[in-house]
Amino acid sequence: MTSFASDIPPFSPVDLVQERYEQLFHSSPVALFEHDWSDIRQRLNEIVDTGIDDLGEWLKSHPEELIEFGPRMQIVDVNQAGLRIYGADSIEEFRVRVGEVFREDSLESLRSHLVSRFLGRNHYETENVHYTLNGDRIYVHVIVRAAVGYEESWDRILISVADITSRRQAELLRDGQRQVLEQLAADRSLPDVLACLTGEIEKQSPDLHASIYDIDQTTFQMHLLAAGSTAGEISTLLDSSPALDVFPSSTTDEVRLELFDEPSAENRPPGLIDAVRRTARHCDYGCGLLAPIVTTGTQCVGVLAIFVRNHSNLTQHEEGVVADFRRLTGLVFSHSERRDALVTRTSELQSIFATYPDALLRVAADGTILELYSGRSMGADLGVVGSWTRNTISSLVSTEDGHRFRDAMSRVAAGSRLESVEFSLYDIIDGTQSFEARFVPLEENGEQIVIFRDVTRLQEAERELGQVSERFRYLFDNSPDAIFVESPDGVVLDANRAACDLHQQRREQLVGSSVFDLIPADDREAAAGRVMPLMTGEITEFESNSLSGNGTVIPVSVRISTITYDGDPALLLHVRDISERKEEEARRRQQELQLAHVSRLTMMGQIVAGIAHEIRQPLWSISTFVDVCHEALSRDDVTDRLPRIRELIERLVKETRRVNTITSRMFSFARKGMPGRTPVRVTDLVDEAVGILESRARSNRIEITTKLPDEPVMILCDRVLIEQTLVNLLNNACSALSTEAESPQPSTIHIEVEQQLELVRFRVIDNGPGLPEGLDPEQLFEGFFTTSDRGMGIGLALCHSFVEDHGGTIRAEVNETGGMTFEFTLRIDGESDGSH
Amino acid sequence: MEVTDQIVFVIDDDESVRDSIAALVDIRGLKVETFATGESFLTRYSEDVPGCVVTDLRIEHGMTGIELQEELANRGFTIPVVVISAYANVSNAVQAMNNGAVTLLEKNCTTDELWSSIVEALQRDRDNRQERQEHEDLLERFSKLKPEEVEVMTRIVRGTLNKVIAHDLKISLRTVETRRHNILEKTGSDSVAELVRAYVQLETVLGRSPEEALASPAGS
Repeated sequence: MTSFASDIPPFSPVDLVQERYEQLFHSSPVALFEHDWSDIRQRLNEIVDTGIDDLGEWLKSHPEELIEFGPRMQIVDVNQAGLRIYGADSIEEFRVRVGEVFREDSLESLRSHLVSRFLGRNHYETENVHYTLNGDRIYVHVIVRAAVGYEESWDRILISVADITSRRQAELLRDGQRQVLEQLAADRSLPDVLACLTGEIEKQSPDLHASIYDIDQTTFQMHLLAAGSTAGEISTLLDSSPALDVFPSSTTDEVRLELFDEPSAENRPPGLIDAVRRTARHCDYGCGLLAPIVTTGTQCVGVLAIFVRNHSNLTQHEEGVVADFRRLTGLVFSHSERRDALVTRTSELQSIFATYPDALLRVAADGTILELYSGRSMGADLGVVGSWTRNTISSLVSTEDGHRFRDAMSRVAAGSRLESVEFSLYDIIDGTQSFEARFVPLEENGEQIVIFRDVTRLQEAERELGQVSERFRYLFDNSPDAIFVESPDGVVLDANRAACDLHQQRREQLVGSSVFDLIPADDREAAAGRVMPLMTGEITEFESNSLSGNGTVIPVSVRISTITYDGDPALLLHVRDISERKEEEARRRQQELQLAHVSRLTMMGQIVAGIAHEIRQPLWSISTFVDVCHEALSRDDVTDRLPRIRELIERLVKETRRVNTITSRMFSFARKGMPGRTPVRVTDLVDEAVGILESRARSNRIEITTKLPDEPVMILCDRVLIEQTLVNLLNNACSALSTEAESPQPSTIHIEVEQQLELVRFRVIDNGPGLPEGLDPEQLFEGFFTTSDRGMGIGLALCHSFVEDHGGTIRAEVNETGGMTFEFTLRIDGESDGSH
Repeated sequence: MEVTDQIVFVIDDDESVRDSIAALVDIRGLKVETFATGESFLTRYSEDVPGCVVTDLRIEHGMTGIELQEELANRGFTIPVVVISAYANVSNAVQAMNNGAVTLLEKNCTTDELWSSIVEALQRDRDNRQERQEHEDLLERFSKLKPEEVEVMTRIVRGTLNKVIAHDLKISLRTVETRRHNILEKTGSDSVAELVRAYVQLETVLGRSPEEALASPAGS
C-alpha cells in the first residue's frame, strides 16, 4: 500500500477535491496536525554547523534546548480531534501553547524523532507522553511524516495522534497486577492479597477486557466506531448515503477507487456494495475499513466499509466517536475537489488510513486473491502487497492450518452462511504473528470476502491472561487457607484443595453442595443471617465453625470479598482453621483462671484477719451459750429453766448459721469457679463482694455504702471473675484506707452501679490517700505493679483482663477527695465486642 | 452490801457476745444489764451503782473500751472494768491495764476465765467500796476532834513529848494528857502507834495533811 497514491491519474475539478479534503481533515476522528518545522530544521542545522558530531548525544545533554523545540513548532492546521485531544479551544490557542504539550518525560521520544528525521527518515511512529493544555498527562500514539516534496525542508509535517491513555493505563494496571501476582507467587501465605486482587481484577474487568482487545489503537477505535451500530443500522447508513455508490474498480495491483457523482447501478462495479453489506451483516466482530480515494476522470471518491460487532452500553464518548465517523462517511462522498491539492492530501490521508490494519480481500472460488481493499500493516507484514493477487489465499497460510482454511472456504462457497466463523489462528510468517481470518460469501460464483486481522498482540495478551488465570488457579489451589467461591444462596461454586482437606471431601462433592451443610447445625441460623450483610460488604470478616468430614467442629476465621463469578455476584471466602489459636486462647484463659485463683487466695490472706474477728465473735458466744445451757441443765430447778434453755439453743442455732454463712462465702470466693457466662443480678454481685469485704472494712473502721439501680439489672457474665474484680477493687480500697494514718475524715468506700443503655457502669470510690505523686493511673493495670509490700501486683491486671474479656473497659482516676475512683463497664449481653 | 446488789453492765456491739455474757451472768444469779455502746451505758450509769463493767475493746459506731474507762474515771466512778477484745494488741492491752482494767480478755477465753474475771471485778468493786467506807469512817472520827485537840494530835503523831507539847502550847501537862486521852478515844485508837497509822492513812486518802483538811472541812 505504500505506493498507494503514487500513480494517481490527473483529475478535476481540483477545487472540489480540495474542499472535500479540508472537511475530511477537520472532521476526521483521528487527531491530525499540519506543522511547519522549518524553524526546527534551521535550528538543527545551526547546531550541527557548530561542529556537533553526534546530534543525539548533544540534545540529550541539552534538554533546555530540546524543550524549546515545542514552541518552535508552527501550527499550520489542526483538526477538531486534534484540538480535543489536547483540550485546546481554538487553533489560535493551540498555536500559542503548543510548547506545553512537551514536558521532561516527552523529550526523549521527541529527541529520537528529530534525530532520525534529521538523518533522513521520513516516517516516524512512536508512543509518547504528552500533556494537554490542562496539564493532564496523556499517552499518545504519534505518526509523523513530511508531506511529499517537503522531506528536506520540513515545511509541511503531517502528524496524526491517537490518545492511547486508557490502553496504557490498562497495560499498567495489568503490569501492576502481574507484579502483585509475582509477589504472591513468591509469598503464597498472602491469601488476603490474592482475594483482594481477585476482587480488584473483577472490579476492573471492563478495563482489563479493554486492554486485551485494545491491542492496537486503530483497531480499538474501529471497534468503537462499529460498536454503536447494529448490522442493520450500518446497512441503513450505507443505503441512505448519497455517495454510497462507491467502489473500487481495479484490474491491476494498484487499488483504484472511483466516484460517481450520479451513481447508477450500471456503473457500479458488481459485488462490492453487496460484499460490504454482507460482511457487515455476518461479521460478528468489528473491523473497519476506510479506503482512500482515487479518481476516475474528473471525479474522486472515498469508500467506507464498516463491519460491525454488536456492542451494547456505549459510553458517551464512544457514541461521540461513532457519530463523528458517521458524519465523515457522509462527507467523504459529497463533493469533488481540486486535483492539485489532492496529491498532498492523499498522502496525508494515506498515512491516516494506513493505520487501519485489517485487510479486506476479495478472493475467487479457487482461492486466488482478486483484490486487496485495505490493510497497510497487513501488506507491510506480509511484504507481498504487489504480488497478492497472483497468490492463492491459502498459500499465505501455514501448511498445518491450510486444510482447515480451505475447508472453511469451501463451506462458505457451498452456501454456508458462516456469520461467525471461528477460525483458529494462522501463522503466516515464521510463526511469530497470528492472524485471524473470516470469510463472507460474496457472489454466486463463489467469490468471498476474506478479512485478515493481525491478532498477534491479542493472542499475547490472551496468553498472558491465561497465565494470569493459571497463576490464580495455582495460588487458589495451593493456598494454605481454604478458599470457597459461594453463590449468594449458599451454593459452593468452587473450592480449593485446602477447602477439600478441611471438610475431608473431594472437590466434586463440595462444588454444588450447600455451605450450610458444611457448618455445624448450631451455627446455621447465624450463617443464614449473615448472607445479606456479606453481600453488601457490611461484614468482611467473622469467626464461626466448620464441620469437618468426620463431624468434628473446627473453629475458623472467615474473610470475605464479593466478586463476580461467571458474571454473577458471588462471595469469595477465605476460611482459616483457627483451632490452634482457639486452643491457645483457651490455654491462656486457663492460665489466667489459675492466676485469678492464686490472686483470690492472696487477697484472702488480707481479708482473713477481718474474717477471724467476724468468726471469733459468734464462735465465742456459742461456746458461752453452750456452757450456760450445760449449767442450766445441771441445776435442780432445770424444769423451770427449760424455756430459757430453749431460747438459748435457738440462739446457738442462729449463731452457728452466722458462722456458716461467713465461712461459706469465703469458701466460695476462694474456690476455683467454673468458667462460663450466666445471667447475674447486679445487686447480687455487689452484695456478695461487699459481704466478703465488710468484715475487713469493719475491722478497719471503714464504712461501705452502696447506690444500686432501683430496677433489677441482669448482666451476662462470668460471675466468679466479675465478683473477683469487685472484691479486688474493694480490697484495694480497704488497704489504701488502712495504711492511712489518723485521718480526721471517716474512711468510706462508696459503690455506685448504674445502667446506661447496653452498659452497666460500676464505680468504687474511696477517700483514701490516692496515688503517689506523678503516678499514671493507667500504670496500675500493668502486671506486677504494686504500691504495697503485700500482694503480687497482679490483682488489677487481672481485673483489667476480666473486664476486657467481658467487652468492657476499666479505668482509674484520683477523685476530688484525693482518693481513688475505679470505674469499669460491662456489656449487658456480655459480648466481647460488637461482632456476631 | 450484798453481792446481789451488784449489777454487771455488759457493753458490746455484737449482740451474740452481749447476750451470751448476759446469759452467763444471769444463770450465776447476778443482775445484768446490756448496752450496744459505751455512750448508752453512760447515759444509764449516772450514779455510782455497785457492780462491774464488761466492755468490748472496739465498738462499731461508738467509743472504745479504753475511751469508756477514761470517761468513767473523769466522772469519778470507780466501777471496775473488764475489757474483752477479739483482737487485742500490745498497745491497747497496756493502755487498758494502765487505765485500771481488772483484766483484758480475748474473745477466745473460756467461760470460766470470763466468769472469774467478772467475779474478780465484782470483788474489787466491793473492796473499793469497803475501803472507801473505812476512809469515810476514819475521817468522821478525826472530824470529832476539837481544834485544840487537833493541835495536840498533830504533835503527838510527830512524836513530840507531852511536856514539850505543854510548853509549846503553853498549856499544862495535865491538859495535854487529858486531850491525848480524848484523842485516842475519839479516833478509836488503842495506842499512839495506832493513831499514827490512822493519821497516815487519812493523810494518804485526803492527799494532804489531815489538820489542814480538818481546819477547812469545806475542802474535799
